[in-house]
Amino acid sequence: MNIGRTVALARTMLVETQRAPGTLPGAFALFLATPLLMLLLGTDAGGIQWLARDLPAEGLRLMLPLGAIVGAAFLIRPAMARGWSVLPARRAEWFVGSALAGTVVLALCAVLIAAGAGLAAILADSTSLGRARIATSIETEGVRERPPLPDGTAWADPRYDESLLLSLGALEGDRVEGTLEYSVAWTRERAPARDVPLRITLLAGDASRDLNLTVESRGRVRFAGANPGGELALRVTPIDPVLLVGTKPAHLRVEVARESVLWSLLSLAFLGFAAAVLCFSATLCVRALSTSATAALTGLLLLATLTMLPGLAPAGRMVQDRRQAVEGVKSEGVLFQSLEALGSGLPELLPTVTFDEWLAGRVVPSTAWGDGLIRLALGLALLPAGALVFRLRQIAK
Amino acid sequence: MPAVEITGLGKTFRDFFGRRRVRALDGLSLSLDKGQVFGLLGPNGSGKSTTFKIAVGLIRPDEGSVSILGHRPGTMNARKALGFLPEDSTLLPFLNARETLRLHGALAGLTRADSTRKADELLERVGLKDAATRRVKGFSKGMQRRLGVACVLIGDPEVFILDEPTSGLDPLGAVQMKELIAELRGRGKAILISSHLLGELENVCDRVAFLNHGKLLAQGTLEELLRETETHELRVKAHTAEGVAALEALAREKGMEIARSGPPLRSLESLYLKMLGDGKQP
Repeated sequence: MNIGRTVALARTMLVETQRAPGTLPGAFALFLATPLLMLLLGTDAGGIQWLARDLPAEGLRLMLPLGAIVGAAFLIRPAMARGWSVLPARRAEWFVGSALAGTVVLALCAVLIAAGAGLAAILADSTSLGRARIATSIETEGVRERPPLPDGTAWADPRYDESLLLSLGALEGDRVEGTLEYSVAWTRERAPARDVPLRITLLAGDASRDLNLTVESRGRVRFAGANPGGELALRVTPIDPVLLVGTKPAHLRVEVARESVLWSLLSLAFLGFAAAVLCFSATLCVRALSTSATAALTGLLLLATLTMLPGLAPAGRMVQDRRQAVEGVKSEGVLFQSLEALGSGLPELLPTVTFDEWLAGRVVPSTAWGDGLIRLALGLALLPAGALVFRLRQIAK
Repeated sequence: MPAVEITGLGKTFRDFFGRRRVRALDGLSLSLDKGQVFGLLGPNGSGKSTTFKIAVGLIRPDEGSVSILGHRPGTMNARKALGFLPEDSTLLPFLNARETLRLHGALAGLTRADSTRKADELLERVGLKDAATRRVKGFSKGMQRRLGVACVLIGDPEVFILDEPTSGLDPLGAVQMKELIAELRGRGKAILISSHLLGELENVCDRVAFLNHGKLLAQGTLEELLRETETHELRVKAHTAEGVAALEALAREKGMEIARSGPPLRSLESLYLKMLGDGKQP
């Protein structure tokens, strides 16, 4: 395969895309969709902030791969009428050139969505998007000192003077601010007496100081106070005698530097782009040997498989695990279960946890880049197979 | 070595289940040398386009073989040796004429400077110099056809396959195309051509072949195929009424039957060219 010819074809495809009538409006739509929808649909500050996180997440998680599938299904037309003009080049070069141009377009789309999300973040008070969960552990202090439950939730019972200790480590900045989501369990002994059933104390070495609390919503409080420096921890103490308070490290958010918004957006954009490239390449490979409609359907099936099956599988697995625990019976290898196990074993198109972190207002973990690279490499690795199939295909019409 | 050699070519198109749908080619054999123009004639569905598609490597034959200057169709050497102008030339719509030619130059292995120079030369050659920076999307069918021809020429291939080359061209364009074909023949290029307009083929082809239902009915030089043994034509250039009358009388006296006598009819094409000149604006 000649690189010069492949690049010439890719460059030409990009010029064609750039000059197509729908390109400029499409680019504006991608950039402005998040801020516009956020302003149109958001009714309160919380809603606006949620939309500022949710819209780009859905755009990168679902819309971009979907667009990649549809685009790939119609990008190359293995017809003589379209292909004759590149006859001096090998058909494989035509295929790879088109795929590279499509990849560049997908990257630009991801950047535009991320840029729109950045604009939305500015409009929606970006500090709320720059939170990080940084609690490293949680433990129960008090008479019984029970370990957290398997799901990570730890409970503190006021009747036993228990409290929860969340380790934060060292924090930069002058202030410690953030939110804590909690659950309550009522002992039914009498009616609850307090609106906020807990007190949050900041511990720094031997010193301790209660933090100011503001109720944000049911089960969520905002805390703020000065940062004394050093290793920090939060003690959550239930103060209503009839309400047990429970939480887990994932429900603690501490605001960190604003730059993390940009970093998170870039991470998400890269991850979404990589997933879109994977869908794009897979659809192109099918397109190399079939009609556009078949290619689009196959791509959609792939998308559904990689996004839905792993999401569905844990429910089935939970049932199996419970039965195993209660009855001591090993699951039978029936076909459905085997298929479900196979489905749950498939790698997800996008690691859900990354987007969950973003949606929860926390910094996207840096593993997103590694995950993205794997998917991007997989997508690009599919191209030679597609090029080979496209080369061998007969073009009768 | 022949420029194009087709031997026992057979192709059957089948449906999804592998059932035989149509026998497009059945044992076609023909040969084309350098400096020759070969015309393929036949009705729709006779196998002309299938032959071309096999020759350019778009489809594979079931039987037989095709050789382009000794190379198998679809290989890089065969591609370099071949210039193909299909009947429906779909060009990239948002490139302009010069960019289109430069792309083809790059695909043909020319340097950027060479492809730019050759693009400008060819645009002038096919009458599109004034439209060099216009996007192809706005071109008429005839202009697209001219640009398609320029695309074929930019790589300077040795073998040309032209499917309905004058389709969509005005009479002047058709004449220029025929002149171009004649010039290419003069430069030793081999040209395989198909057209529904038989008069065009008659003017430019050295050899023709007739195809029907994928089978070769006849092939040969134009003179071999067109010679009529039952009639005889005598053309007199400087004539007088008495002389013509004397010739007719002599012919009758010798027992010959005169089918037609009178001034010859010129072709519509020559009348068009005489009336509209070279098509340039005054």
